[in-house]
Amino acid sequence: MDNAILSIRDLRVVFEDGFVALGGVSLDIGKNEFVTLLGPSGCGKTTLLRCIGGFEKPTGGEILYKGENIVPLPPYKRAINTVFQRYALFPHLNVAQNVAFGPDLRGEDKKKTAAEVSRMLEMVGLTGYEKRKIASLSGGQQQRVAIARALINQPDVLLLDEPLAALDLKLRREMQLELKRIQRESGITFIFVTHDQEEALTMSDRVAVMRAGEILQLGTPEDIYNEPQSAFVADFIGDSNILEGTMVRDRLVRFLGCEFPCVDSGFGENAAVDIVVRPEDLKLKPIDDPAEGVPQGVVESLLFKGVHYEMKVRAGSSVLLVHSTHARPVGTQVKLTVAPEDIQVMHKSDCSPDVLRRHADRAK
Amino acid sequence: MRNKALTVPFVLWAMIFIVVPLIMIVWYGVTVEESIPYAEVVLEDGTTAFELEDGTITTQRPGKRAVVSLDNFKRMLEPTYLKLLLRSLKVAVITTVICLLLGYPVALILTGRDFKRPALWLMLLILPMWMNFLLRTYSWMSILENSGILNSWISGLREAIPAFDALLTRMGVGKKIIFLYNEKAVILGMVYNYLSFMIMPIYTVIEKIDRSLLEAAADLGASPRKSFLRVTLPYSLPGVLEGVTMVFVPAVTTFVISQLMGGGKVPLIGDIIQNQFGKSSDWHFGATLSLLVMVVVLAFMGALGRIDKEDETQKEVRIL
Repeated sequence: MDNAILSIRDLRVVFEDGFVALGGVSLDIGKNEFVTLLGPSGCGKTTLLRCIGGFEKPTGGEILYKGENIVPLPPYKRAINTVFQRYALFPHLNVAQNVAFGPDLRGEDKKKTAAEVSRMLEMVGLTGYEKRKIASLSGGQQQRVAIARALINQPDVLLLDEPLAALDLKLRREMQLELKRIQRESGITFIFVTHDQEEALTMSDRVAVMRAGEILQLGTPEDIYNEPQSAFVADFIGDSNILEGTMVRDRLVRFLGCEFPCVDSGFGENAAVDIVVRPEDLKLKPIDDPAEGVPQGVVESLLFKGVHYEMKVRAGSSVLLVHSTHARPVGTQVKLTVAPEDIQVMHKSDCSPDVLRRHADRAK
Repeated sequence: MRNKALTVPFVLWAMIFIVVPLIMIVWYGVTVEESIPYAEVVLEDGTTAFELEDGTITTQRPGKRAVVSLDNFKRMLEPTYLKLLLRSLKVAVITTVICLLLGYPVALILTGRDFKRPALWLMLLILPMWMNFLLRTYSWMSILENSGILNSWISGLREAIPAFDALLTRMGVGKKIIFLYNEKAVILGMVYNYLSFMIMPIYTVIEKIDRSLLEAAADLGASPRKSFLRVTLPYSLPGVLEGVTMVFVPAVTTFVISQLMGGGKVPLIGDIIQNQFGKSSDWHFGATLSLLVMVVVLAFMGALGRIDKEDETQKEVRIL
């Protein structure tokens, strides 16, 4: 990337006990970009963030900030600020003093700082809270103070370590929009860590899905959702049906005992593959539908989910998850169809055993 | 009302061992002993008897009685005793300051992120305290006395290295260096015995400081020095206050250390009080002096308590 503000090159972190937290991660982050590091706990996303912030020393690799390797620099010499997971606000200082911590350290003019503090508090919606104690604030308000405290330093890059994890669902939704707005208005690059796939898809310009110290896939939320490159990514991002299949030839795949036209090619002939189909892409047709050569199944369960119905349909030895606005009673015989572009074909090796195991569990 | 029943043993304990003795000390403090006046009379059968002021006659020789008097308070304010009190305060303050200056860095180092096995080191620091207090103090005496270990090492060095000998001679140092039986020796003994009481509370408080606060300070541009001044120091103040109390209070009342290490040449207020209950056998004056020390300690704790409160009320902690 040419306009990258931050370039991570082959970053490795091996802990003292030999655990490989990061196994050679490379990532370019552009100016004013909102990048999310997404993955389950223990995938290395927080370690990567802490390396960028300077709190973790990488075993190898480089972090280039505007072209300069910042790995040897201590945190206080980096023009990067962090919003910590549990906020890490100073309880002995009030809201305004917390926000003014950075400017005060640099010995900036008190009046100018006070004006800046008001501006920041206005931006995060906490005008009038200057003299309040930290302990008297709610989780969401503390969150906002933490953001104001980081942003007042006008960093080029803001790191956010699961900042919304401690908030309840409604507040989290509000803060997601708020953060996105702040990021747009301030023009600061945000690097956001979360294990919540919905959060990642809602807020990010690009998402890096991580597992076991590696980035599995990097792309826009749409790419990640619609074109998962591995069963793990497909499984982690939203619900999906992961099935074993065979690539008969280019653009023709066989699973559930039937052949389907698809858009993928280059797998060779009769290659074992994994098939990912999103629940909303599986269409249920009545059993007397004229469609030929499609799998048949029986509706095993029906759940009302508000916007849609969630059904489990047994077809042979597989149980498929189907989302539809049209309910079919339990026991109904149905035909299943799927559009060629909604079938994701991926190499067998990409599918980790634990993902398959979880899917096997769900079929029971 | 089960909870209230549970407090009975403590209340009883407190009544018997805290409240009653306190009342006794106050009573002894505000009274003096005087002989009961009497006149000797010879009874008709020739035996000697004693007639008291109210006219009663008894064959027992009348003893002494306690009368309320402020004489002991007047005596307490004599320069001799005030000087002793001032010396005690001086020694205690110096001891506390040295303990703080030595103890704080130790606590800080032990809580350092890179410090391996702090619990082991803490135990090594406290281990000597498991030995008898007198034994520890006598050990110091055998190290420091005129023909002690330290002096024999120094004279050994002087014989081995003529230049060192010449240097010491030029500095006017005698063949035997007198370490013991002065104020410095008393302070050394106190620092040695009380240092762990300073380290422990400070260590506990610093150890509890949320590491993410230090990370946040560094993230916002604070160098390690500024992080210490702006985060670690303000948060460790309660531990410092506790440590100061735990060193100062015993230091101001001690008598054994001053007797052993000071050899009786550096009497402190504690020595005089102990004397009243021992050799001089004047419990009343001893109690009066105890009350004086108690007031001083209370005033000191009150002053510390105020600092603590200011801290709690979120007074701006600005060291820079």
